[in-house]
Parts: sequence; C-alpha cells; structure tokens
Amino acid sequence: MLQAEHETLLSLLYMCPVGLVEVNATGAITLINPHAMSLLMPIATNAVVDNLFDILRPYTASELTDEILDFAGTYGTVFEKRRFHLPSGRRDPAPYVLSCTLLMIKRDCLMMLLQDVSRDVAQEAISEAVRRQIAASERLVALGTMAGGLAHEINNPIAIIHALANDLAETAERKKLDTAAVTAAAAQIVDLCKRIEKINSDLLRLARDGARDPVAPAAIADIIDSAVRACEPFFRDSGVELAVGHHDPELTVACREVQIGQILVNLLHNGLYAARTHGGAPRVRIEGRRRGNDVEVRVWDTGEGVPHELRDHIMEPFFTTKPVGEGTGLGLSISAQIATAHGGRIEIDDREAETCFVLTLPALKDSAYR
Amino acid sequence: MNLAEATVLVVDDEPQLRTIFGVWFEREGCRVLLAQNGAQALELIEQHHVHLVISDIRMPVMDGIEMARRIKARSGDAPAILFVTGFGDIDDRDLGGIGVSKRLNKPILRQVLVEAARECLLAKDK
Repeated sequence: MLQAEHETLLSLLYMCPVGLVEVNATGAITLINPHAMSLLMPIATNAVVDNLFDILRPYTASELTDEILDFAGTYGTVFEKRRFHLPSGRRDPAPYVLSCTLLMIKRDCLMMLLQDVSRDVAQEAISEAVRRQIAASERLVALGTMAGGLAHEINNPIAIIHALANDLAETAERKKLDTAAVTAAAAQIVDLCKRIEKINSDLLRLARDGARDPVAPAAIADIIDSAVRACEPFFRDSGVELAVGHHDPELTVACREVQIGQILVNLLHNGLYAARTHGGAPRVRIEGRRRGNDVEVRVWDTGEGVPHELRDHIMEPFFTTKPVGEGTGLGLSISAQIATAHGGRIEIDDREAETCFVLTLPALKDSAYR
Repeated sequence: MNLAEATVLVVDDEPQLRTIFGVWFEREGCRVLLAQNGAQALELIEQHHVHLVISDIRMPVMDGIEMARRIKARSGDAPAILFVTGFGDIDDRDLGGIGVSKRLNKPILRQVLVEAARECLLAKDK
C-alpha cells in the first residue's frame, strides 16, 4: 500500500510542470524531476547535475546557501519567492530568470520549486517602458496645449519691451532723451523680463519629467501658485474665473515638486473644461489647507459634476468623457499614480455642492499647524 | 480721413501696451479712447463716434473677433478695424467677413502701426 502511494507520488513528481528539486543541507540533489533538469541544464557547467549549490553558486553568491543553512530545522516554512537572473547561455539574448520557492519538508531536506519566469520579467519590463512612454506623451499633450497660451503670454511683454525700445530710439533720434524717461523705461523693461522669466521657469518645470527628482520638502502654496500661473492664460481666454483661496505659506509636503505641480495643472485643466462646457457663471477654485496629518488641495468647479456611474472609472487610463481629440484619458490616471507614489490619493468629495477633487498628501511633521 | 482728425479706440488687455499705443496716436494728433476688452470697446463705440479701432484678439470677457462681429452687425457708420495680435488666431482670409481691414503682428514698430492706421482710414473713405 505504502509502495503504491510512493509510486503515485513519484510519477506525479515526474510529470509535474514545475521544476522540483530535493536537496540536503550541503546542496546535494537527492531527487530531481525532468522539468527541473530542463530548467537547470542551460546554466549547469557540468553535464552531471548533482549539486544545486554548485550550479547556482556563480549566480547567487553565497546568499542562497547561507539562507538554506540558517533555515534548517523549521519544517514547512516557505521562503519568499526569489528570482535569480542568470546568464541565459541560450541563443536567446533575453535574461534567463528563475523563480525559486524553498520549502523545508523535513529536517535537513529542502524541496525547491523552480519556474522559468523570464517571459514574465520581460513583460513587466515592457509594461514599465510603455507606462513611462504614456506618461511622457501625456506630458507632451499637456505641454502642447499649454504652449499656445504661454506663447501668447510671453509675446505680450515682448511687444511692450519692443514698443518701449522703439520709443527710446525715436526720442534719442530727436535728441530729446531725458534721464527720467530712460530710467522709467529701463525699470519697466526689467519688470517685463522678470515676467517672461517666470513664465519660462513655469514652463520648464512642467516640461520636466520629475519622476526621478529627489523627494524634498516643498511649500504647497508655491506649488499651487506656480500651477495657477501656468493655467491663468487658459482661464482668461475661456472666460472662466480662476479663484485662488488662502494658503498657509508654512504648509509643506515631502514630494517631487514638479510632479505635484503636474497633478494640480491637470486638475485645474479638468475643472476649466468642466466649468466651460456647463455654462452659467463658470468658475474654478483652488485652495490648499491642513487636515489632521495631511495636506489637502481642493479644486472646485461649477461644471455638471461626475455622474455616479462613472466614479469608478475616471481614474482609469484612457477613460475620458471629453470628445475625441480633446482628452487622452490619461491625465487623472497618471495624477492618481503620482499621488499614490507620494503616499497620497485623489478623490471626489461628494459633500461639497460643487464638483470637488481633493488631492491629499501627507504633511511634513514640522509643518505649521493651522 | 486724415489721421490727425480721427478718433482712435485702442483695445488691449495689456495695460502697458494699451497706454503706449494710445500715446503713439495722441502724438499723431488723434483723439484716443482706451478699452481693455471687446465689451468695453462696444460701449465706447456706442457713446463716441469712433473712426478706427486698433484691437488685440485674445482678451477676457469678449475677444476681438466677437467684438468685430458685433460692430459689423450694428447699424450706422462702422469704424475701420485693425487687429494687432501676437498670433494667427484668425485666418487672414476671414478678416473681411467680420469687417476687419488688416491684421498686424506684435511686436510692432510705431511707424508700421501708425502707417497702417493711416492707410486704413484712407481706404475707408473710398
């Protein structure tokens, strides 16, 4: 009877599509199934596969063997799955990655479950690359939209500087130039240049990825102001009021400032779109405040609101309620991702009369309390 | 019509530019009115006999294009309109349809703007 069970177990082991290797504390293989053989062969330098540690040692240093030895005696414990990136030795230049689960089945006897996860790893790498590309293209779309308005913003001060210089030159030609007039014009030109510089730095800040910037303390008021400045021309051109509430200048968050700015620009643009398409006295309001241990930035709009049946979808990539060509459906999903990466979130506050998106971020501990 | 006898309305949401353009036309002997958007400009046109409107396009409240349409829709003697704008917010071929004589680019030299205004008033007489 026992013999029959043993044979059933062995044939199961033999047929199993997972690589199974039984080893003792020295790494000597006491049992191995064909699938494990096929997984280990590409990396085994010796045709005879007899010691697992010998096979894996070149790739795993002593880490694996140390772990196994430390662990002797605790039956049934399962090591977390770990992955070994191995040189493939195969024709395929893609990395060869084995996932390995360790199971202590009896004293001084380990069962090792091996799986080839190279394809999963490659897929993950592709997904990550695609995600990055999508984020980059979304930024470009946002930037493209902003470029028109900001170009106009820059052109106006340039036109004034040009006119002032024109006047100065003509007055000089008539030899009627006086010091007061030159000083006044020069002061105006300096202010106008500062105005252009401000627009430029806002634009550069938006254009940057920011995903790899170090996390640093930043005043939420500064981030809001910069986002507001970047969006103002659009509000002005669409006749939508942009109201900015009071922000505590001391309120700070640990963040990648550029990314949080991108979220706010996105929320303001969504608000602008919603308010503009709804009619009435369109308005968008933004305010940053402290709430317990968090900092909240609220963006209200007078649009028609987000229908309840869409609530679950608005943060999904490519979901958009805008007509074709007006939205990629990525803004909110990327914003939500950034918020999550900062330990925060974006949500809709239903208790408010107007549509209200709330970005919540953990406040810095020593940030002023209000 | 002679530029020196004309009433010129300068419409721009950029205060400094509005002032500078205004001074340029005062220097030519014109009577100058200033407005910061299309809606204000329309009010002034109702109150005064304006011969020429020098206007930006992108402005809050009411933009230059809408303003031009409304001026055209009014009964009576319509002023000539010159657009001075940073960007091609309108195709030059569509200018005539809304009663705009010409579109000039910002930044602009005083002489170019004044000359265009003069031509505009002359063309209006014909």
